[in-house]
Amino acid sequence: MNDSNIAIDTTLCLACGNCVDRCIMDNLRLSLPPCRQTSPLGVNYQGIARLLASGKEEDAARELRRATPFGGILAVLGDPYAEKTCSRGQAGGALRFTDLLRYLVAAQPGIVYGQEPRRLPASTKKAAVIGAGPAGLQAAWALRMSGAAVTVFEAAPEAGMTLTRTPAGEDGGNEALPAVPAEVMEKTLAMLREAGIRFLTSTPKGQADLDSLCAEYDAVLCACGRGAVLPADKNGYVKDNLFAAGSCVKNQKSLTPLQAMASAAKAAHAARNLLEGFDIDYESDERTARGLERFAGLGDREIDDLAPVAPAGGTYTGEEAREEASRCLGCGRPYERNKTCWYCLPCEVVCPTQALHVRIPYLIR
Amino acid sequence: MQILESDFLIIGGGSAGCIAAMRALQVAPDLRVTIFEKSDIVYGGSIARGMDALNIVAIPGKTTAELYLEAVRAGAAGIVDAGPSYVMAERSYALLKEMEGWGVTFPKDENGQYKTLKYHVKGEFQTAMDEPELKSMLVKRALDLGARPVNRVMGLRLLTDNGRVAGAVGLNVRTGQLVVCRAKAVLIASGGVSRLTLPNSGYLYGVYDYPGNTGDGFVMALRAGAGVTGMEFTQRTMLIKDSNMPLLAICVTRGGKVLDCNGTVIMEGEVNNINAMNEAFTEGRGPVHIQLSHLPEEKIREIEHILFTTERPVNERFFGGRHIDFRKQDIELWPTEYLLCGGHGLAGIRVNERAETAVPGLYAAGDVASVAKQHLTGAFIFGEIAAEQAAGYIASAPDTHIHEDDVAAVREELAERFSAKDRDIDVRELEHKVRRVVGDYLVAPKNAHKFELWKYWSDTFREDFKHVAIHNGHELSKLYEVENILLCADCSALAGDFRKESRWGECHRRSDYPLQDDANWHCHVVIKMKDNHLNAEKVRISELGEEVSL
Repeated sequence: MNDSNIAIDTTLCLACGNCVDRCIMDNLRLSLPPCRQTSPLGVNYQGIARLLASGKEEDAARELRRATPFGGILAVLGDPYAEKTCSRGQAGGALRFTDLLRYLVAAQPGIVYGQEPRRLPASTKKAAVIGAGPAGLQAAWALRMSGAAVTVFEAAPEAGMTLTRTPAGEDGGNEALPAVPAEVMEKTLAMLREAGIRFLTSTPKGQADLDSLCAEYDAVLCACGRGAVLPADKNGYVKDNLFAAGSCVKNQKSLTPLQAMASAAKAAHAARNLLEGFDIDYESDERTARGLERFAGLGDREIDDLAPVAPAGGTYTGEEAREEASRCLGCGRPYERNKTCWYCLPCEVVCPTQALHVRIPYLIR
Repeated sequence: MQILESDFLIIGGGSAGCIAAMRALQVAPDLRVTIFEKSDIVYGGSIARGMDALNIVAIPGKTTAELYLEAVRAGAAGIVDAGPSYVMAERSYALLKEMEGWGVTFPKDENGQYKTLKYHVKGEFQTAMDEPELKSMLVKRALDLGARPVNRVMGLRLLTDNGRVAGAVGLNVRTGQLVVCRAKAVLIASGGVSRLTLPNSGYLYGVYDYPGNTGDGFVMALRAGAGVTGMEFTQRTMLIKDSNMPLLAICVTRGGKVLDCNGTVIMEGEVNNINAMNEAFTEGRGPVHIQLSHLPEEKIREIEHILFTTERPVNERFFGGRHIDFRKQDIELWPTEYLLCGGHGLAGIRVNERAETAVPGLYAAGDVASVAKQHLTGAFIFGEIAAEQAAGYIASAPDTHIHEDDVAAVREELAERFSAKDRDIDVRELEHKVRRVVGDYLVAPKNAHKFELWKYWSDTFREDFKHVAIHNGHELSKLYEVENILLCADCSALAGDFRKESRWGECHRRSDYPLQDDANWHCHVVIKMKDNHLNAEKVRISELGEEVSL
């Protein structure tokens, strides 16, 4: 039974995974493009590039927003991981994803810094996050999206200061790391606050406070940098309802912000499993990984140390951005893994670009 | 052990499951309602997207619940409990009104009356509806009220505590992980068995009804101690050859004629004699055709519109691929595969008019429940009834306890299936063979000798299960599905052998007992499971006002 019922036009496919999510026969899987596989925040660059190239700037911004609320920060820090693995690197140079992000953030701030229209699950659980650095922000957002009420404790007078004030890695090692402009951080924090995350600044919490916090909250995620040393397993689990991420994990070498965020995503996922009472790696519902085999970019893989990406110069014009985006080869696509097609069409209905065509199986044609 | 805490667990997020979630949260907004859905909830289930008609509506001034009872009794050759069917018809008009409130369109004629079509022997109960996005509409309402879907999880085993239901274990069909859910009440709404035999195309999933339905609910209910009935009602229908997509009612109620190969009209105006098509086919007067070429262009367009947008939109590609234009060519009909289904037939978990089963706290609704020929109307109404009853039950029921040993037993079974030793049978080939043999021995013409031969194969397949190679969670779920199909086939064999008469035309035609025998068999055949052993018994048919014995 090698006949393929689902024909994909790879020149149109965004590799968004909608079809995989909606397939009622569990037939489809998504072959991830390398950029998305390696992007620490799981950004679907293929989708963004394809949408930009076809002039659908707002949709491109939505695709970015769907992966992360930290598009503004990511555009400053750059995503060297995605660029390193871009297949186009073999032919004329990798796509300049970072410059595309910068363009998109500048062109569509309302969407990049806006709320994602999704229904949060009803939850009565409370979660505490210690630290409002890159790891703390990522953890707070992920936990909030699972429905929990999230409070972030930060010792500094403002959240996000490790990103805005320290133009370097967490312990000053990386000279080249750009500082996140205050304006970017403000917009990001405003959006997180609007999503219901509570920030308590100038409220230091350290190792000594963990027991009382663990008693008060259903889950506690410590991401306070060097303020604590906690023995966590690879998923960030410490003990009971305590989790840790970033450089407060025992024996953790220093981390770049993106590495810290990836580690926090993993720990937040473990905390989410605890809060929800069951452990499903993906696809428990609409808010998880959109039908991927694993969390894109947030799996067990180590995130390498990579130098940040220097900006190309000035910001792209719309024309330049479209031109650069149109160089995308479109490596990702859905495929039929299980040969269980009922030719029922939901996959086609939810495809945003009509890239997918359902054929009648040969035995029936 | 991680436990998903819930009050009301619904297994199956199709029509019945989604409306039950809605209703439960309407009557008790604080209830924690969880839905296990094997596919993805937005389009999962038998209606998948939309429907062209609400099959049974007793519209005041036009038809009555009493008339419906007569019609369904005739359609089911008397094997109907009066209570559930009556209650369904009684509530059907209120359902239509409720659905109008959701924004569903029920077209009206020039006199402002709902358009109805004659599908039953008596009375025009089938009411036209135009809603291609019915399922996603329903899902949105359920989710907005706070129901929590857990996609890609099939129901595997019910958990019980002192004889009452305590929750269920589900299987993630992608990862093979188990999900344990505690609940005070459970509704099984997981459909019938659409993959009972092979379709004539030979394609495993080329079946008429949603192929995700593999009798998971029958098996869970049996193992928990509930009864199932009507399993001898092995049903097939006449649909588009090879594609097995529905269209009969859509065409005939709009003026299409069904003809045999001699051009003799079998059906015209009303879809009231499916058996006549089966007979024509069996007697060699087939294949039968639907003729539309005599209809005005406007009617043909109407039919095309429904077929190509609402019912199964892919129809357009199928007919296009075969170069069939309804204006010129007839549509060839051919028997579909056989299915067990309470929606279209009689097979189902025994329920009363309160959707209760024999197990306290366990309810059943939709194609998995035994409300005769209830169609979508029954799925909706009994989904609502189950939710209303469950909400009341939950309010007064004490907390349930999950016995870790029960979960551990399921976990061990699962681990055993993953073990690599001596495993070389492909799960698809296993399914193909099981369904082929079911088609050989358990459908009309049936006889005692065939049922005897089936026993050998049933035992053989159980041995084969131990040698199926499983590489991932999806294949594991397929193996469980085939096991469920096999147990349902065993029930069908037992009930078919037990009922020593012929009834319902091709649905239970025995060559060794060719006549209907009302003196001895005007009764239900109910199967229960005890110590892993299936037993059949006769159960009398209840009249209006009598309790259904579960």
